[in-house]
Amino acid sequence: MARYIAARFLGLLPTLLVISLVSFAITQLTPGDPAMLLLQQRGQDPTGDAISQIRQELGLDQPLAMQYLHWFQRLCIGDLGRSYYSEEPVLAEILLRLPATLELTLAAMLVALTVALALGLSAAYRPGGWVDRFSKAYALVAISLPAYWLGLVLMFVFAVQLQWLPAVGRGSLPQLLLPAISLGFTAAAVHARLLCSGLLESGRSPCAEFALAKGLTAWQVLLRHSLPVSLLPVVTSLGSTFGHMLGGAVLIETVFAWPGLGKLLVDAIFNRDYPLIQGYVLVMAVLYTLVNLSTDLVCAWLDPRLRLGEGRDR
Amino acid sequence: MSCQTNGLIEIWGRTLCGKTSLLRKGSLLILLLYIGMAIFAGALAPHDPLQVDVTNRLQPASVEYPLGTDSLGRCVFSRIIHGARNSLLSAAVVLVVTVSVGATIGLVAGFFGGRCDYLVQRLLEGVMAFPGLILALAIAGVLGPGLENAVLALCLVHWVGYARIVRNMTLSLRERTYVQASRIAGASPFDLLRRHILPEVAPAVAVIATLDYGRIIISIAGLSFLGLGAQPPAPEWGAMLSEGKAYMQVAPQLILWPGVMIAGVVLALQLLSESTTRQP
Repeated sequence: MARYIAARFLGLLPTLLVISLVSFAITQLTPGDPAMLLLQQRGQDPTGDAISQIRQELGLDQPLAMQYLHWFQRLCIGDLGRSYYSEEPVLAEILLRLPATLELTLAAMLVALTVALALGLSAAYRPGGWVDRFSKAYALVAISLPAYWLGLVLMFVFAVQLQWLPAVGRGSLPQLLLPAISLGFTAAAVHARLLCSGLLESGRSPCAEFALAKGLTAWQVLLRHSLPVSLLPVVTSLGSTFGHMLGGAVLIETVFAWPGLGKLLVDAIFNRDYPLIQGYVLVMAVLYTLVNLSTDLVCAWLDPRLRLGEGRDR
Repeated sequence: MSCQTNGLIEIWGRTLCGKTSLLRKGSLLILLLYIGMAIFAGALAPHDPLQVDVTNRLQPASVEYPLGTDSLGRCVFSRIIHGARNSLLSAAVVLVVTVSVGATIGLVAGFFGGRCDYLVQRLLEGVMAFPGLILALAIAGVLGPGLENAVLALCLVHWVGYARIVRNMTLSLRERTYVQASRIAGASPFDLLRRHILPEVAPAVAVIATLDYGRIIISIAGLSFLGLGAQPPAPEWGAMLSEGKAYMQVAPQLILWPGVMIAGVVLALQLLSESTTRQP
């Protein structure tokens, strides 16, 4: 296992390098001259002298490869530059907002996982029964609904009409409920189907049949024999779902005025605060890579075949 | 690309003429309604979608205004109809660009392999290291608000999925006996691709693209909802949701109908794609 973990961590390096390259490349898409923009934002006159001075300050007069190297050097010590707008260090701004987004995303994952387990297990208990049919219809509808629209509808029903839950803001559990449900709604349906088909498949295995023949009830077979095997694809898929939720969180945060990274990004975009946009993308990609790595590690821990196979190759 | 369109025509043709399930016919009918709405928007809409009438704002549904009016007194029904044009057309542009670029790159990388494949693989890994919508959001953000920029951003990110699928399919098809036989018989790489590989790849890509079209519609509406896509006063479903949000208490129809329209078209595409995979 130690060897597998070490190999996976080494495999991270090229990915991180590529992430830094793409993040750097994004800012090259900016329309117009960043030096000019910075001067305008500082409220100074964009004269020729001032522009060339700023260009020198920012290193924009150097070749692109040198600019990347300098940027990368600073990146390695955690310096992502300063926001054009607030003039604060980008990393500090991002770390300040990160907990709110993580809280929302993890709550949505919890919603998705709970619903998926309950629906998937009950659907697999009686294939073709009403729970099974319901979860199929739910999956179809859930994939078609934009999460941000679901958020608006939930907000209208539960906050405006019934006034059961607060509409916006962060701080208390009721405020977390609506955003988390809107963000986790689709993932719940998808994973319920994934789990159900996995359970049905492993239910046909000789091991499950033997357990039934031995006298265990259908529920015992499902929980003890089928579930551990069927959880593996669900865990793998949760990694990429986490990434999708980070992206979807931008929209949900906008709907519910949730003070997270999504709000920070949207503000940065409208302030044309390029270092902040770049920093956001970079941090999100690194986070996503780490989550994918940990789901892989969890899978390897759950299923020895994976790590043994990996060990033989190396 | 002709084989690809053949694949699509075949699927749609079978749907229209052959013995097909009710589900498939229904979903196709809904899609045709949407397409008709987008094409004949000018004739169908009872009012000018941009006509402002502040004295008549936030009205409930009436004979004159079937879905009421918005915060500037514009006819919501007309805006929804005209919105179909913006949403469906911009998503179609993204779909066509990403499918053709992605499939071409995938075919070349999978077929020729070697250094070319290595480069494409690294590029794919690079884009896929960024989760979900985040890279598209950032690119659209850096380019600045606007529907063209949103379309460009989605194109830059979205081709990756097709390139990966087509590359993997091509890689395994290349080794099939009949392709090898054709190669030994002296067929050029271009002939091999056109005659043997594309016809196998196209139907699979068509099914994925049908499903994907819905996802692109949701993404574009999402970018517009954030203010990055279609700019006011242009009628677009995502932008309409964002405008209507502030008036949710007095005029819930403003957030209801644009969402229903998005969900409807995505659901129809989903059912169509599902019924296609079920009875190949």
